[in-house]
Parts: sequence; structure tokens; C-alpha cells
Amino acid sequence: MNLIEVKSIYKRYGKGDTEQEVLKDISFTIEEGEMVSIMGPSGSGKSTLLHILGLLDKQSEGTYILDKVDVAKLTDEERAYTRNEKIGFVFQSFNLIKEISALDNVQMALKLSNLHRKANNKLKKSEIKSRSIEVLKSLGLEKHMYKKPTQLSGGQQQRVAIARALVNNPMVILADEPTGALDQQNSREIMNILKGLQEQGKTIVIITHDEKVAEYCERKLNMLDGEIHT
Amino acid sequence: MIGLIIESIQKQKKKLSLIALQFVIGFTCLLLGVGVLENTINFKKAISKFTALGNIHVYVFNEAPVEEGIKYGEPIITEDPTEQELKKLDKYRDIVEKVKKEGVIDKFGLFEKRDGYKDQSIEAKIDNSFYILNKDMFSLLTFDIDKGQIEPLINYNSDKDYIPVLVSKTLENQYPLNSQHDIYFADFTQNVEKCTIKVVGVLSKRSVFFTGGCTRLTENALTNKEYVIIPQYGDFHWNTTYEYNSLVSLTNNVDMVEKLAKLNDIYEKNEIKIYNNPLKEEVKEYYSQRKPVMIAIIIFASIILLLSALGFIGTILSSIISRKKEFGIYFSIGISKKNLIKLVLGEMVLLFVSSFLLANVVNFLMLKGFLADSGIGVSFMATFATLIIITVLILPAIIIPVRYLSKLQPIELIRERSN
Repeated sequence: MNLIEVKSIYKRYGKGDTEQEVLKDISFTIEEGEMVSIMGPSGSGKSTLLHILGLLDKQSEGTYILDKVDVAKLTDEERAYTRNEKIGFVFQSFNLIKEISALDNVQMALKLSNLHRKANNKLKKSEIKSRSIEVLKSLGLEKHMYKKPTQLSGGQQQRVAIARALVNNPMVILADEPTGALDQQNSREIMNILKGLQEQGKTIVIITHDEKVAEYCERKLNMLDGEIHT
Repeated sequence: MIGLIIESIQKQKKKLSLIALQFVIGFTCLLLGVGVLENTINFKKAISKFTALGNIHVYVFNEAPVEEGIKYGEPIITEDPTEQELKKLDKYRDIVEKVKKEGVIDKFGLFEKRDGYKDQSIEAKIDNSFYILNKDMFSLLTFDIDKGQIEPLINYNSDKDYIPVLVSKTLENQYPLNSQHDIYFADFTQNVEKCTIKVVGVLSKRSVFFTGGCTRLTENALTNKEYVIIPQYGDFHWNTTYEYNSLVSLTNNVDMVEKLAKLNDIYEKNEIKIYNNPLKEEVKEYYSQRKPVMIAIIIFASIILLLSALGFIGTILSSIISRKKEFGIYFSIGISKKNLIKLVLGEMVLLFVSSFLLANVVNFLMLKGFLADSGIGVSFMATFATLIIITVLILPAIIIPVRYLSKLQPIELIRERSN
């Protein structure tokens, strides 16, 4: 079953003479449980595509269907809800909040999820904490959960970021150069974690220009100048 | 959302504490300024409710203190009272008689401030003041009674074995309604007399009474909180009563100048120089004394608040700019723009509210501490008025950052993050 369906997507910035077409007629589908890499050189439009897939940006033209829903019809609030419930992001630079602990970073995703829930369906403080601890433990971070990101290594920070992405049990994980800031050993560990998640049924989309990373994926989409070359 | 707001503030506590401090100073000054303003308005209200502002305070102005070390108006307690002092007292009594007899004035109100004692020893002095009023004084004043009645004092004719009294609200617990107490008063010659008083009325919280013994009758009337009002049950014993504690009303205010001149003549014939001061002049003086203080405090508060508001706008804007990465993270994990604005707005509102509450505490401590004698009280109206002023002043400081925030796009924040 297709989880992601992208049909003739265009993305343009600017107007008139300064208009720039970053994505041109992009179409593809990704099935539930698939692990797909999007490869391409810098400026090829792969990050823009990932932002559209992650509902952080809107396409100028075309259709994007996520879990049978045309996202163009969603309100700002519904897009935020979808990001929180169905999508998990993993970034190259980890993007953890430095001032709070690893556990608090993970809990933040669940706390934000409460903003979308009705009063009788809100997660309790204790539930938020236990779920976050459980995910951190599953990623081998039980000894580091009360440390701030600055006290953790790159690999540990990325695992915290993965824990944050996973804590809401999303359908799809969008990873933007997840190993870009890591050494080889940590890169392998992170990719093994992502592969393991795919095996548990998660859909994984990885942006990378590292062939070794792409090798973990079942399918590769190559981008060049805003277009997909299969 | 509240939990998220509190967590977010905790993260920025260092940055926000300086702004909060500025706000607390500004809000405190404003609370104080509004308090002074309210006090000034209340002063006129209270005095005009208590007595007609057309009534005149007549007082004797001594060239020098009667005795060295004794301030004007303080009762003179001498070990061996001189004939001269007793003669003076007689003279005052005669003058009052004459003034009344000649019909120069309508009412000649007098009150005597006495110290009360629990027993005959000087150590047993009671803290509160006792004021003995003549009948004319009662007719010149309007007492705001909370419980009981004033009539037994007005109609007092010594036919009972007790003296009916009124007590101020703050003394209600010490002197409950219908309770009787034995009080000892020392007279001019140091003789001690025992009086049994019975509380027949309790005055309202808003009631005021003159402190007595000063050239401005209304001075400190608002801060005078603990007193007992007693009808005149015998002669007045203190020269101070005749020198400072008098209030007169003229039979016909049209001929006021002429009548005051006549009153002056009667005193001058007895080699006593008097001054008169209509109460409305006293109120005016009070206003003019307070005005510069009030203006200074309010200007100071406005400058502080303006600077705080500008500083706040700057801090919040720079904080938003420096927090773009954080906001980008929030967006990526599912916050909507509406909730992000709520979060930042909540931080600002919480900062204002906590600063305002803290300012109220500081203001309260100041008013109960070194400003206790200022007569400025903590009032709901002053607090409410200050809150309105603050809201109007602070609103732009909230709107500007929120407008900036509403224009931000998630993707801009993500790009910021990538940079």
C-alpha cells in the first residue's frame, strides 16, 4: 500500500524575473514499510523535497498524498498534527534543544502532541515520561537520558534525535543526512538503527549523498537540478 | 500549554530576569504613584465627608515653644504646674464663653486629646488615643458608624455610671461593642481620674479623626487609625485643646471676614494672637504638597516602564531571532504557528503577571514598612488602575513581537537551522 504519493510536484521561489524552479515535475510513490534514499548533489532540491514531504513547506503545484490524505487540503493546525503524529524527523545536525536534557527533548514531542489532543485524551505526565524513557532505553541511552545534548557524543545525540522522532510512533521517518555529522562507526550504528526500524514496519526516507548510506535502502531516487532521474 | 510556557521561561531565566527586574521597579513606582494620587483624592473625600470644608480651624500661634524641648501642640506635663498656666487655661475658657455669648460664631467645636492608662501607674499607658469632644464638635462632624449608635454621645448628660464612647474599627477587638472598661486619665495637675467607658458604637473603616495638637487640623487624619471618641464629661484640662484643637463654623459665611476679624479682636484683647485656616485651604495645601511627589513618581515610573517596554521589545525580538532554531525544532515535531504564538505570548504574559504580582508585594512591604506613615494604603482601585495603565503601556511591547512571529514561515526557521 502506498503511504506517500507524489504527483507532478513543482516548487518555485520568487516571482517574475527572479523566479527559480527548485523542483520540477516530481512524481513517485513510497510504500508502507519501504526504506528509500533520495540522493543528489547539493542544490539538486532534495532537502526542499524532504521539507515538502515533512509538511514543513508547501509545493507550488502538484499533489502530495500522505496516508491517503491530500495534504494540500489540510489547515495549518492539521498539518502540525500530521507532523506530530505521522512523521518523525532526523536531521544532520541533530537539532536538539541544548538547554534541556535528552529525556526532556524526547518528552517535548509528546507534550506538543497533547496540544492537539482533546482534554479527555491528553497524555498524563507520568505516561509521557515512561514512554520517553522506554524509547531512550531501546536505543541504549538509559545512562545518558538526564544529560544535556552538549554532554553527549554526536552518535548519542543522533540517537536522542531518533528517540524523539520515534516516541510518537510515526508512520514515516524522514532523515536529512542523518550520518552527515558522524564518524564511520557512529554512522553504521545509526543506519543499523534505521534499518531495524524499517524491519519493524516503519517507512524510512533518507536524504543523503553517501553511497554507503544509500546501500542500506531498498530503493534509490536520484535527483539532479530539481528533477528525479531513475 | 501552561506547562510548556513555564518550561520555556525556565530555559531563558537568565535573559528574562533582568527584564523582570526592570518591570518590577517600573510597576512598583507606578503602583506607588497611583497610590499617592488615590490617597490625595481620598483625603479630600474623607475630610469633606467628615466635616464641612467651610469650617475653620482657629489656632493660637505661640512665638516659641512654651517649654524647651516640647514641640508645638504637645500637652505640657510639668511636675509643678505654674499659676501662669492655670491662668491661661481660665483665660481660654472665658474667651470661648465670650465668643459664644456674643454670637460671633455658630459653633465652637473643641476636642481634647488625652492619654489613657490601665491603672494609676505611668507605665500602664494605653497605646491608642482618647479624644474628648464638646457638643459643638459633635454637631460639626459626621461620624460614619459601622455598628451601634452615636446618639448616647450626643445626648450625654452624666446621668449614667459610665461614659458612652465610639471606637475606631481597628480597636473593635480591644473594645468590643457594649463592653465596659475602666480608663485612667491624668489631668493638667497630674491628678488621675478614673472613668468607666462603655462602647456604644464602632466607627467604619473609612472614618477619620484629627490627631490634634498641630497648626494644620487635618494633618495625618487619614493615618489616625486607633482612637476612642468620648463626649465631654467635665472641663477640658489642657491649654493645647484651646490653642490647637478647635473647629468653628460661622453663623453666616457671607460676613466671614468681618466675623473672623471680630473673633480675632476678642482674642487680641486677651493678648492672644490667633490664626485661622478654612479646611478647604488645608485640603488645597495637601494637594499642592503632594502634587510634586506624585508627578515625580509617575514620571519616574513612566520612564522606567517605557525603557522596560523598549528593552522588552528588543529582548523578545532578539530572543525570537536567536530562538529561530528552537522554533524550527518545535515546528518539525508538530507545533502549529498558532500554538507557537500562544507559547511566546504566554511567556510574555507570565513575565508581566509575575512582575506585576511581585511589584504588588514590594509595594505592600514598602507601604507597611518605611512608608507606613504616608497614609497611602494598598487598595484594589489603585491596583486595578495601575493594571489598566500597564496593559495600555505594555500592549505594543506584546503586539510587535507577536506580529513578527506571525510572519515567520516554518521553512524559514528550518533554513535558519540549516545555516
